Amino acid sequence: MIKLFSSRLLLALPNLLGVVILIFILTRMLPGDPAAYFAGPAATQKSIEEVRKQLGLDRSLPEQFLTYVQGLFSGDLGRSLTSGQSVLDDLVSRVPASLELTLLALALASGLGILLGVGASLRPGGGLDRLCSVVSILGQAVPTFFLGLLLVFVFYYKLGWAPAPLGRLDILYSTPDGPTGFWIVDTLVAGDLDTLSGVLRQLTLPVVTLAMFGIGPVARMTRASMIEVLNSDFIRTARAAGLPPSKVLWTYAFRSIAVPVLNTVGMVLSFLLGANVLVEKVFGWPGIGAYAIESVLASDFAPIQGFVLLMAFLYVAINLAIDLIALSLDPRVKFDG
Amino acid sequence: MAEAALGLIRKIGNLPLGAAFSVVMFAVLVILAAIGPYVVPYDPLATVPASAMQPPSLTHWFGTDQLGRDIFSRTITATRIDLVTALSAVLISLVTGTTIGAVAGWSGRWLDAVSTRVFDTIMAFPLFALAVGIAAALGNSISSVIIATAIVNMPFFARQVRTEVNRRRSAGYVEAARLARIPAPKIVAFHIMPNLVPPLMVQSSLNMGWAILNAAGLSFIGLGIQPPDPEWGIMVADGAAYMFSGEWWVFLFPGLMLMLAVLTFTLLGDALRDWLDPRRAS
Repeated sequence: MIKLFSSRLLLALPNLLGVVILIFILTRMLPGDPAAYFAGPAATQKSIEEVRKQLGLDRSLPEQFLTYVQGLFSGDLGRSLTSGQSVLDDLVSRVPASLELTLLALALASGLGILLGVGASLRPGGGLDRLCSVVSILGQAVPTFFLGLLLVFVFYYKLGWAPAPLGRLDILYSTPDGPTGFWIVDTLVAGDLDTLSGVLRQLTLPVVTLAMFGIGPVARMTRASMIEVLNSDFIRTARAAGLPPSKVLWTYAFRSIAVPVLNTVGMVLSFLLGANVLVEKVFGWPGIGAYAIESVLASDFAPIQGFVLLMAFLYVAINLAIDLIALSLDPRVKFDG
Repeated sequence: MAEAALGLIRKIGNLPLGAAFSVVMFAVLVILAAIGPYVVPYDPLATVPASAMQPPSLTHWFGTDQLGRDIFSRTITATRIDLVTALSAVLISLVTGTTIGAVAGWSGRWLDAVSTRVFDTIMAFPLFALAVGIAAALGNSISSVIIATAIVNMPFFARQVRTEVNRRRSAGYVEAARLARIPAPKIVAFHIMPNLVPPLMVQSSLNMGWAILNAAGLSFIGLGIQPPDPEWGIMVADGAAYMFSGEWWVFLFPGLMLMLAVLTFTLLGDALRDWLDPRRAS
């Protein structure tokens, strides 16, 4: 297990190296003179030269790359021109907000997608099966931000069921002060159920918005693999042996489709992390996506670069975790791909 | 002529619902992109403060925005810029992705290894986040949005072409062409590639949908096309602020149009796939 874990980790390394190289290339694509850019708008010729030295831009590209990687290892992602803070600190303080949102949406999408897919597979062509195709077609076609705004309009403005889309918690509550930054966990640890309900209320609409886009792919994959498995011999044998249908379905059949379904969940994750940026803007969510948007509007490149890098790292890391779950569910899985 | 038109209508009517819808909507979108700006009732940029924020009515079908601009005219006019942006991106990724994929799949060895690595790396990013990074690095303009969208779409074409070319490299008809001393580029271009046209058509249509979403998403967060030019993503972003005072029509109509356009290309891709490969049709 540990051996497999480390070999899987090693396989992720080339991807991470590629990510770092690509980001390095991105920073060199900046229009104009990066030194003048990072020196800020009020810089003189002399201070620009200083920044150039400081950034090592007077040296050769491979040398620059090495310094860049060294900087990354010591956690140096540069400084934000707008907030004046180190980009790493900014990102670290915001990442729990984004992760809480994305991971909940991923869990909801996987749960609903699996239920819908299994339901559809039991009666192909039936009502659930049609719902399954409608959900997956709409999930591909509706723009994330548009769905978010529609939900806000209906559930906040018209019906008044949802709270205003203004961040993680209504100002009536005091901000949870816990160690994780995941406010659901923090309020639970503190036993503050009142604040927890406030946190959950704020989370509902953005999580549903984001999850809508993950349900389709998960449901389709579940449906397709389930139909195949349900027609296989060992299921026929299990049924013939008189096992209760729910046991046949969830214990026997479901375990053998867990791996392809989990792989689809990993793919959906990539999509949700990207769409997260738009959802954060719609719901005033103070996460890394909103941070990236602020920086885009201020033409502040160091934070954007940090954001893209962090996104890629999160994606690789969470995918690794999903692979390991797949491994623990199915001992036949070998990581050689 | 009339008979041919009737025949066409009957043919479309016999298609499955999704396919029929996508064919008709595709034609509508192309026509709107071509002549929309000339037939809309109002100038999409003309501000009329006196008639600001009017709800939909017979004079303004989709209502007016905070500057009194006619939303119907703006939504229709935006069709061209949204479709042209997405189409440019898809064409760039189709041409470059196909070329790289074909060269990699034919030659194998290190070229193949390098390009596979590069595309794997691109796919290791959440694609929209990468597009934000690329568009921001290139500078805030339409061409940056097009290039960013093209780069994140490229791996889909390159991977598909690479696999297919590689698979056919030792096929009988390719061996025959090689024995006939036909140069390799010619074999790839004229003997192998024609086989790939159908799957690439399907891929292009699906990618058009993604590209429209991607470009509209980028302009929604402020990258690319700038106001006051009418574009669906910006119009939705603009309208979002007025939703809280009950003026729903400002964000709703451009958003619906955007959704219809993406739906059209997604369904068209599905329909093309079913038509070109009936075995996969369910």
